[in-house]
Amino acid sequence: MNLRTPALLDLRLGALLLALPLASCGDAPDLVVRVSLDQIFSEELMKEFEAETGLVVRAQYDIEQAKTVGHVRAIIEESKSRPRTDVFWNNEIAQTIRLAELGLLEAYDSPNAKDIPELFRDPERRWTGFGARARVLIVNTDMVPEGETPNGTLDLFDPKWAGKCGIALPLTGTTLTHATALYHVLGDEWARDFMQKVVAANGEGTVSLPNSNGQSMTLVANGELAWAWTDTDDFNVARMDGHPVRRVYPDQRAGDGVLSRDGEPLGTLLIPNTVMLLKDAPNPENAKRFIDWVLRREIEERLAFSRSAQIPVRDDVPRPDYVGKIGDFRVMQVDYAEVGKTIGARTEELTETFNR
Amino acid sequence: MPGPVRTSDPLRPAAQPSRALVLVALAVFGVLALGPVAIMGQRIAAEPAALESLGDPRVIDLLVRTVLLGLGAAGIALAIGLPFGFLVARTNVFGASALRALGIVPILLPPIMLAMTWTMLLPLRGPWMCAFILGVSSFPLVSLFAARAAERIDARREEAALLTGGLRAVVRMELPLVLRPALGGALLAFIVAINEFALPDYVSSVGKKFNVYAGEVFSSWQVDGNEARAVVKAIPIVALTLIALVPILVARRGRSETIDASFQRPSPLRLGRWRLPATLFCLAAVTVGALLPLGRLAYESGGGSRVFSGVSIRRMGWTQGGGAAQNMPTTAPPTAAATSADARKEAVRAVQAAARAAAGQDPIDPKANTVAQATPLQRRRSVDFNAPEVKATEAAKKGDDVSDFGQGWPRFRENLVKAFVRALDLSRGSLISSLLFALIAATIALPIALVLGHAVARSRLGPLLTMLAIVPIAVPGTLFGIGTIVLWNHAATASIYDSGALVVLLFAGRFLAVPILICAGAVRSYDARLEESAHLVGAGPIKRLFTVVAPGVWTSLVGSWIVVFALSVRELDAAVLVPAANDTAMFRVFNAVHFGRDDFVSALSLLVVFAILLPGMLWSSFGRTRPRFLP
Amino acid sequence: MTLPSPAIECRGLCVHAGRTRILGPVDLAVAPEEHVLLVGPSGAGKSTLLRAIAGLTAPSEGEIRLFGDVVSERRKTVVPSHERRVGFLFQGGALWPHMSVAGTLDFVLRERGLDRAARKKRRSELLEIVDLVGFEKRRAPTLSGGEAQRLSLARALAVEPRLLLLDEPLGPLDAPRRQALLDRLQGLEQRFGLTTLHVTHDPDEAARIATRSVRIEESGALAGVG
Repeated sequence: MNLRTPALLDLRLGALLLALPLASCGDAPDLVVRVSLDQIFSEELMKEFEAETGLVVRAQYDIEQAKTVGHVRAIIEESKSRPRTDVFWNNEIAQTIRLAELGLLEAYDSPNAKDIPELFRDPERRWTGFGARARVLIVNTDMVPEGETPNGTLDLFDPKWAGKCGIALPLTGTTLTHATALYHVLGDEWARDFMQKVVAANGEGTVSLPNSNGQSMTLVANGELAWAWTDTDDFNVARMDGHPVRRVYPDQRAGDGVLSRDGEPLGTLLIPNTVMLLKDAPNPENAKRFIDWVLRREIEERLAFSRSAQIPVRDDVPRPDYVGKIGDFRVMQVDYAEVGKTIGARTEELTETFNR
Repeated sequence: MPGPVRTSDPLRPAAQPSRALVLVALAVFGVLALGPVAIMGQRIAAEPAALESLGDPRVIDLLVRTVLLGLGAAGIALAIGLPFGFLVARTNVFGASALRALGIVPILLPPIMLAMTWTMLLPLRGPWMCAFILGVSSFPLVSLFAARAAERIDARREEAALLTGGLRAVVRMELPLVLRPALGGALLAFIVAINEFALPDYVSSVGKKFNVYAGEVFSSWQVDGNEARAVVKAIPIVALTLIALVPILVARRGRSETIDASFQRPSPLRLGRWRLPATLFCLAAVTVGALLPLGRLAYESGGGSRVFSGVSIRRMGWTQGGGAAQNMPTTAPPTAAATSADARKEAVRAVQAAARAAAGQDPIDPKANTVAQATPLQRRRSVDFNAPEVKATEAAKKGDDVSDFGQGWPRFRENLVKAFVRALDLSRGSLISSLLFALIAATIALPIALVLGHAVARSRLGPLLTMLAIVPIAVPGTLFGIGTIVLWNHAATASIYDSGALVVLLFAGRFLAVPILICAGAVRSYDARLEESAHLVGAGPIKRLFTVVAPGVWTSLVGSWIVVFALSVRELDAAVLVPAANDTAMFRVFNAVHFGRDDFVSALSLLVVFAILLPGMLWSSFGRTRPRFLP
Repeated sequence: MTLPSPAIECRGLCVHAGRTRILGPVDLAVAPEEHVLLVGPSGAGKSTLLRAIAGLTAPSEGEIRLFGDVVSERRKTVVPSHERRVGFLFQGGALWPHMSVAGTLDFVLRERGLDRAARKKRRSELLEIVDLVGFEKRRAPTLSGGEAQRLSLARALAVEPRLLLLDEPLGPLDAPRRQALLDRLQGLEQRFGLTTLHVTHDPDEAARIATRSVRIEESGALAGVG
């Protein structure tokens, strides 16, 4: 064996090792956007934006497994050393408020947001809401005849549905926002008692706790559960895939199982998409262009017609019939800012309640 | 009989590694693998009171439950893996080599894929189902160790047992030799099991919730100002992992080295009348762990039940009132009732008619039970022709999604091809970046692993280095991902942070432990005298490492490369946090799961599995020797 | 009066590995209580012949009889190896590395169906025979070359063999230990009336205890009788 060659080999090896990571370096993007709306919907929009503006966008998508921990935690950690994200397109609102509370958002009043109702705009203009989802019940039509449909939150405890109904574990995503909203609207004591009841019911096997709204939908679509809480986008996927399902807006009319406050039904929780400019964004001007672009009426319309069936917050944006209008159902009156402020503390409390 | 060669003997200075080279490799390892963990550890130092959160009875309860789950999974992995490994490596079971290759697949599949299949097939839920799935998915860890140990028993030793009591005596003599490494594998299965939280969550979706400790760790990250506690919560998992490793390390020290210079490979044991049952057992193991989950994916890629039964209907929503909430005013008249299977079959025919009408651009007949939903379809085209849902509709129009109910095999085959073409079409870029990231990460990890593996095997600090090496893979993925952000997101390292290089460094750092251990094992069983003889002719430690040791352990180097590659392709937990890492195929699979396109998701999942297995398959097709995957 | 059957009788014995013949044809008869040396160049098939007689390799042609009974014939093992009462001393000892000296012997005796008390007694006897008393707890890898070979011999004797097959047992030992082992073997053969087939590279050394020697040529065929 020739023992001399390796010196050269070592050199080449070293050079190769240095070169490899460098090879995977690319050009810096003109804009960094974190998106928690499903990639399958948002990716095409990103590409269109790139084509239209000529900007290079790095889009960072999310997956259901990472819940919101992914983006929000990454934004928080990045902000401590070197903010990298320009825009966060969040598919819900509570985590947005959380970021606003942490002082990580920059105010931007987009001209395209002028016709968006004030309810969906931050008074300080740090975020803007659009295309909303509603927290609904997905019901398996093979298992639940038309007249016996559950009507509201408290139907979870109706013995009729023992072992056949479910709500996603309220530790992440829109279910967490929903749970936090209940604390806010109905008071801590009531909400605590309610959550304890859910845990107890789960212990007895009467209420299932799927790991996500997507799974709640799948379980109902496949007939493992008769009905469950989910979001309208998940419902719509099941509907379009031809599963025997129907949608129920919960807590609409006073009656059995319906949650009320001051004698009035509580209504259905609406959760809008939110878009925001991050503080110290590396590319603030491009970020504003993107926010303007996303807040165009056409985008809301596109989201309404997509499989995610988002409900436009502007009343006059065209939509398919099955998407409906915000005025078609009673909306739960909730101060999103308050919900966002308390979501951290609620997460802790709910984790202690449910994770045992 | 000559005693075993004590390879980490201080009396063998000529086999010692180059101190400078080890220091350089350690520095690289420190930055890539330990850096992200250490930087998060600082947060505990800033808030030591966070340690108190570990004393919470609820947390302790979760921890105990998690340990029990881990033990259950390890037990199942042992019960399957030990006999499986022995049978495929040492006996004349039918198709032993094919079974052996297939037997590695379960550990490479994401456990959630197994869960999706098994929750469909078995009514069992909760802790037992979790233990079952985790045990099945990690039995290759046991069988690989058992197989190698069984192969290392010298033919003459086995024959000596054969002479005293036949096959039974052979099994009795060899069981202790195989059991110890198999137990080591079972401990690795335990480590895998205690880190898993998505699976218990998924499996207990119906009925009583089964929570585990790793879920608690994950949830902790959601609360602001709670970082210290979130890091603290990871400590028990790391501690359990290290504790589980101690027996493996101790066992290795007193290991009965069964290979010496005059080693004779044993020939396959003849099982006689047990041959068929043994083959069936092995077949059942790979069926449960690999063939069924992969088969289900293939089945769904081809359209699954809608093709064969015509009952599970997709896209029926185009014509159905299901979308309109029953308690809200509808603008559309009620359509085909959706309350019975018959009605739905009726609706299918309507769908097919509508699809044909749409394909031919005919005006849709209002009498054909299709209502206002036709309008959005046309409308959408006017909005954006490139939107993915419109593309899907276009594809559907062409006949693969709508008009294929109950058409059986020919349609299934056609759909299968289409699903793969579509998955490849939509995800080509992600697949390429997955392969590229994994390829570069594995290539970077290799020389570092060789240097450190050699140091682990030949120096007295070996056990300490092993413990250090294992930390990055023992910490929860979320913590490692966040640590990577904190470590690399600075102006000085901006070009790395903002590019794919970060993904490569993350993969290499997180998985370096594995090739280090594989290389250490290989060097340990490599005769130190060969290095000494190179020393005598004047070769320095670096030359010895690259010209004498590396060629001698090259099958392990190949194995290391393949393992890092496979782990990198399937990594998700840490990568999801890091910019650029989400353009990977694995990410797309999990993104698309939510979207609910079963055929697309299944085809893409199979492509990812194919990508994971690709180097291994290539090697076994063209390589002359078998790569070594084990320490 | 009939002559006693040969202890070992091979007729037209051939062993093939795939298509390559690695031994034979061999015709060999060894009378009871003989000590026959088997010599020949490396690779001639000496070890293969021993393994075939022990039942560890099936002959591709021919037959093997032990004490008059057919034990192997053309591709078929008639009597399994562990029922042939053959003691085998492997090259290098082939001791089980995870067992102690006592454990090794115990393992064999248990296979012979002895109960605990009988095992203990027999184990002591065997250890005395090979002079390993006091070594009971030592594990195989910690024994010296001579001690390991003596344990290997004790293990072979534990099956109460009629035949001893020795595959270069003297290999790793120094000259005084070789002589000691040969003396011990001779004593045992006489004491237990053993028949021995002994593969060796150095026929001169073992000549003093051998009754005769047989040479296998490179072709794998039995060539001469010395």
